[in-house]
Amino acid sequence: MKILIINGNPKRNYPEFDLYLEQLKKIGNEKDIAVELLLLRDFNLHDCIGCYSCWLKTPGICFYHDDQELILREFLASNVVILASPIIMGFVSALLKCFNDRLLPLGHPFLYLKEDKMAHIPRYTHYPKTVLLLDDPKQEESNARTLIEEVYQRSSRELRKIFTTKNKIQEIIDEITHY
Amino acid sequence: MKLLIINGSPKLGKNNTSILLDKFISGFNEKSDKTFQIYRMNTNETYQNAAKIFFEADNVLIAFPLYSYSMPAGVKLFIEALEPYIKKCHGKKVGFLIQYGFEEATHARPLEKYLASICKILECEYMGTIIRGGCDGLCRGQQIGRARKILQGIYEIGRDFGTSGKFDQDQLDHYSAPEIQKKMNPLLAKIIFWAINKFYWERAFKKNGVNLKESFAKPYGQ
Repeated sequence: MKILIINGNPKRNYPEFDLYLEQLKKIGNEKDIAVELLLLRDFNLHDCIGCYSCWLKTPGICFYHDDQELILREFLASNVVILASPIIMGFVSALLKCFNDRLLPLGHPFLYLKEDKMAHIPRYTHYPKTVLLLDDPKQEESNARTLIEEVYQRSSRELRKIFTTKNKIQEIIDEITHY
Repeated sequence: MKLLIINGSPKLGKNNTSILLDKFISGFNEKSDKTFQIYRMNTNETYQNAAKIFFEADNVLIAFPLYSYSMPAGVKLFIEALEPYIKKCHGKKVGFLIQYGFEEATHARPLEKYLASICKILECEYMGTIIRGGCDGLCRGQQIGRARKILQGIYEIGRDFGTSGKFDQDQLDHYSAPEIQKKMNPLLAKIIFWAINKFYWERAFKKNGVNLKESFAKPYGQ
């Protein structure tokens, strides 16, 4: 069992969010679960520019040879990936979205019909199960969680659940280790 | 009316978003009492600048491609730069244009809801979202026959927007159709998709010196 936490918190002045994830890693490790925690803001990640190199020129490999290569390897080697981000302006952070956009090399451009709409076929045989971990939305962003869920249900191949930092860490670990 | 158009395509050069915007503008400009300013954002600095000029404008159209069922990361960075303007955008009118490769409108619906919610957070008026799938390859000059229809439609939306100062939801729905694919015979669907993959994607592989087997490479294992 390997769990990968992708921390998309861009704010250094919001250590509570980082601490929650460090706790999650610590409690997981104490139970002999391999938990890896990656802090995206410490990585060098270029935005996806939609050049299609990863589909058409060097299949499966991005035009930008930056830290995303390492993250993709970790991603594919994990059973469960926790995509973690504070809610900023009603959505996940641009930092986490950058990571998401850069998942394009994991797909293949060929199309097929999936439930009356187009979809791309997978490149790899297995993908990790995914959960989202968000913080509590501000009052004006009260429907943010629903909107984020709708987007991620379509974009993540294996989205299982959305947790928030209000969930007890133990509950999260118990649930995701049973996927 | 003075319209600020923000192009959030992350591409470095030619981009499908600007091809649609050019046609929108030629329709919008048909009568001479309109002015527009177009601003391209695709770097950290331009995202921050775009937020400032957004705040100063009265009418704004924000256009970008759909990435992974929502806005590209850079456009989200721009939205984050709007945080200081929460509840301060009264009287401002904002519309959006989303384009992408998949054919059906349904892919952009969750994002459309999100964009409306952003306007609510900013307390500006949400004018609507132009959604158009099937736009992949426009800037590579592919799919010429279909491109004409796509471009004619956005021209008409621009023209009518220039006259009325608002979007007509029926017109937008007509433009973004189909919502989902019509029920089709599974065998027929297989043939259609085989043909798209063969004549659209495989041709693109070949152009880049990649054969079919190589296109399925798994460089990171499994």
